[in-house]
Amino acid sequence: MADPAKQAELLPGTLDLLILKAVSLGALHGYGVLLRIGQISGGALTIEQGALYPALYRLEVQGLLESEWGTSDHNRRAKFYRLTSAGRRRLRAETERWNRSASAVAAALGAKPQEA
Amino acid sequence: MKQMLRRLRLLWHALSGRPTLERDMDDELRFHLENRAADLARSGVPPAEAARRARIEFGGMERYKESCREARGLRFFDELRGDLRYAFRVLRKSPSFAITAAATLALGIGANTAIFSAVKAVLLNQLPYREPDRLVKLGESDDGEKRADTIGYTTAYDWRRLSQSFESMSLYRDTAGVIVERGESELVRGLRVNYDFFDTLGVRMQIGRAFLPEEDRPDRRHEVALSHGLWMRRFGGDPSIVGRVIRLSDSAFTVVGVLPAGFRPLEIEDFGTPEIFEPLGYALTDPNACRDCEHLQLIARLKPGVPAAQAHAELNTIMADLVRQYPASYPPKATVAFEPLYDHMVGSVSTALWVLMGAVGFVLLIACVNVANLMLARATSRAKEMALRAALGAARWRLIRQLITESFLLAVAGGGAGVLLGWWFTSRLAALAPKEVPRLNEIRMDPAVLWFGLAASLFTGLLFGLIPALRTSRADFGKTTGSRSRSRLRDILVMGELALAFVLAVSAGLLGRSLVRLVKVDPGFDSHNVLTVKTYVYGPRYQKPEVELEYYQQAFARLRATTGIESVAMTSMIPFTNFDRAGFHIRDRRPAHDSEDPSADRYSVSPDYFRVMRIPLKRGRVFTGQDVVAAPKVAIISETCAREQFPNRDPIGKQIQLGGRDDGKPWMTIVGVVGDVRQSGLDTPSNMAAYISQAQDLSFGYLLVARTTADPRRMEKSARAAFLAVDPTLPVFQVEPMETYLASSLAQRRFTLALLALFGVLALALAAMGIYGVVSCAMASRTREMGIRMALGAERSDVLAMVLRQAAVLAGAGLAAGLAASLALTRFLASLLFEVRTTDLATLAAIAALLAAVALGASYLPARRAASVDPTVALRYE
Repeated sequence: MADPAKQAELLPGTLDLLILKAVSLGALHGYGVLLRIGQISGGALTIEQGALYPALYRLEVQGLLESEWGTSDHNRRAKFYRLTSAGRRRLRAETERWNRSASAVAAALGAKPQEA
Repeated sequence: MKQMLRRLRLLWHALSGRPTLERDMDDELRFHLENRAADLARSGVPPAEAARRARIEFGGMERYKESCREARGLRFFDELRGDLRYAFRVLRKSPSFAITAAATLALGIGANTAIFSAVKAVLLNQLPYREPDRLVKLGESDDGEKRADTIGYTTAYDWRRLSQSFESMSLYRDTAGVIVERGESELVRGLRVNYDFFDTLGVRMQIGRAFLPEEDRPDRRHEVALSHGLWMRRFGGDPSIVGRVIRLSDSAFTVVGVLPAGFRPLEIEDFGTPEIFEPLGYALTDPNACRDCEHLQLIARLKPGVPAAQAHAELNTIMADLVRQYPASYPPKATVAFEPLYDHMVGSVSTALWVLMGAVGFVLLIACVNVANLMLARATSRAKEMALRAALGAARWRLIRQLITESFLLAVAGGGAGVLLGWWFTSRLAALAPKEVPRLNEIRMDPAVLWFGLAASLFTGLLFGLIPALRTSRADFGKTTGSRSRSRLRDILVMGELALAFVLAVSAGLLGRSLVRLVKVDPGFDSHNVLTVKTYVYGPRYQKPEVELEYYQQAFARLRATTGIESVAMTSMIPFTNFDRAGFHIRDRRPAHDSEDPSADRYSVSPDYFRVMRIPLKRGRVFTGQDVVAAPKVAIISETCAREQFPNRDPIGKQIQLGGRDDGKPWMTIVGVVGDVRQSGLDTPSNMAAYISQAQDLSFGYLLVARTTADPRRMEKSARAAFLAVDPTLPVFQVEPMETYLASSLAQRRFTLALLALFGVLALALAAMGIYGVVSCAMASRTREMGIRMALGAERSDVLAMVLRQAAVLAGAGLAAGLAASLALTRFLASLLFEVRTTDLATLAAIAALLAAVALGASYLPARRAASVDPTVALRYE
């Protein structure tokens, strides 16, 4: 599915964020979410496939996603997830938070000895 | 909001057991696997390998499903459903256990629900008046008595004038009128009330209006309001009744209003339910309005926010001033009797009902203990199952939950049956309960009672389920220690059960002894085979006393000619109903203050009264046909009266006067002394009594008393007919054997006792079942031991004795605990007892012996079975 050499471990808590991001680009079924994450991360992030579903259920119960049964490209019954407005707000907030802390960590790790 | 709805929908799906959620989840995951496999196949993996790879990449399917269920937040309910289904299967597999347990609980919950419905109707329901908490019953207290009874008009007038704490105060008194139109002449009871009486209660007329101030005056009293019941009964609910003139006795009254159906009039003791209401029509100038003319009732409404204690204190201050100002009119210690209306109405029964509620609670506790015991006994047989489930990874709290679910299921089944049973009990209770208990006719099964039943079921489920659940779930403990501590726990439960049963049985015993004592009290007359009939004489024809006397004598002549009637007499008062207390004055003996005059129960009777009632003559003579108006006035007094007023002297020949000093009543010569009569009930000592000759003073209402040779009930018709034949316009009513009055004076006690005894027997039976269960279970697990003992030469009797000894220790400990508990608890019974102390040794001993016998009897059966076991069989056991 992806080049093992380029793969990165998923940081705890980031799965929800990735799912929200993936779904924000359009309604997806569970397998579609998996493919979309692989696609937008350039195949760099791997998740255990089964772990996706408890996360989807949790996000739905929290009201960040809503689901609907529809038909897939191959004319099969599939459950599609869509971002709710609460989910959209959450995605925005989480993205900002992630960027802030990521750049802070990056800056900290990029510090040269004389700057200390 | 939307989210909540979604959760509710999910919850509904989970609980309703619709498999949709599971199926959807399966579909979704399968879709994933199939798509993944298809993608893999497209990239060149062989189809069979693709499906396998897809599965591996997915990870642990069941684990993720479980996490999904958890993520849905409904795992608890999913599991609950599973638990319920499992519990149902388990209980169905052991129906005898399930039925025994549920039936035990149903009895307990049913009895509790029924008693609660009575407690609620009588004690907890609000009185049907506006803001009833602000209503108080007031009265003058001459001797520190707490019961708010009567008051004189002028005293009430001053209280109203001088106090600040009350919104209004209204006087009322009894009245009666005969309605003749449309049907048989009927005496209707009523109240004469101040014009603002209905405002004070906060009750509006259904049609028409209440009284106006100008109608509440002595010179004009021509208005009447009718109760809803009377309006329907005598006037067919005629909507144009307002403004119509109706005749009551011999006066014309204009109907001004009709009260609503839900109105409950205030009742005056022993008087009946009032159905007509007239203005009181008193004024200060009335001779009946004097300060010591205490015959009126007073109801008052406190101003909002005024505490009762403050109002009471204010009235006491006012009263103290009045006593100082008018020393001749009040006893020196006169105070104010002040009762919230609620206390006034239900005060006497509340103790009995709360005692019953406590008793029935005990029964439920015992039922719980029994079921807990049953469950513990099952624990032994389920130890394997629990160990297996624990080994398969069930957490301990899951096992506990499973067991508690079983308990709840049992409790709900028992509770459901119990509420149905309670429904039936409630209707029986309402039918059996004596009419002497106020408001008991309002008993019904309502939502509050049903909620109570449900709450009681759930509570019991937790109560009897928790301990066994905690125990059973510890199946992984060493088996021997487990079963030993389990049997010790069961011993403790049985001891508790015995203790509770002991308390109940002792309470019933004490009440029973009181009743026995009470029934043995000599009322001073013979109530057996005496018929009583009330009469009511009115109208211009009967203005002259001779005519009224003639009416009675003509009826007498007819009655005496009737077979089955031995002797007849008239009296103004019969025992156990009311009393008529009059001032008792002795010629040439005047106390410092008139208010210190003693008082005596007054009876106006015809000559044969003492013969009919079999009241013994102690000295002198009884009245004769010669004691008529023209003859010298005579009186007869009771023994107590003779003893108290003429100590060591002969009262015969002394002259007395009855009534107020200024009433102008004649001086009468005492001609005889008769035995005492317990006028106010068997439990109240006799007051002084004085009898006057009916022919010399007819200013009373009269009852017929007739001694019959057979069951007096059979003479009812001829007794009524005799009077109606003389004058059909005069009502004759309330034909009752004297024994009915006696029974009704004991009714409340009997009712309490009967229920308490029933609960005691129930408790005893349940306790016996509990002991039987524990002992037989202990025996079953010791069969092998018994076999060894007997193989080693123990005799059957040795084994029997050993088992019984252990049971005796158990029973002894239970009884000791019960004794301690009953000493602590029976003092709540004190006010219900009569000449029996709460620590009555004979009762305690008898009950202890009874319980010990029941306990040993219940253990004897399993013990004998154990002792008769064949050693060879026993050794091969297990």
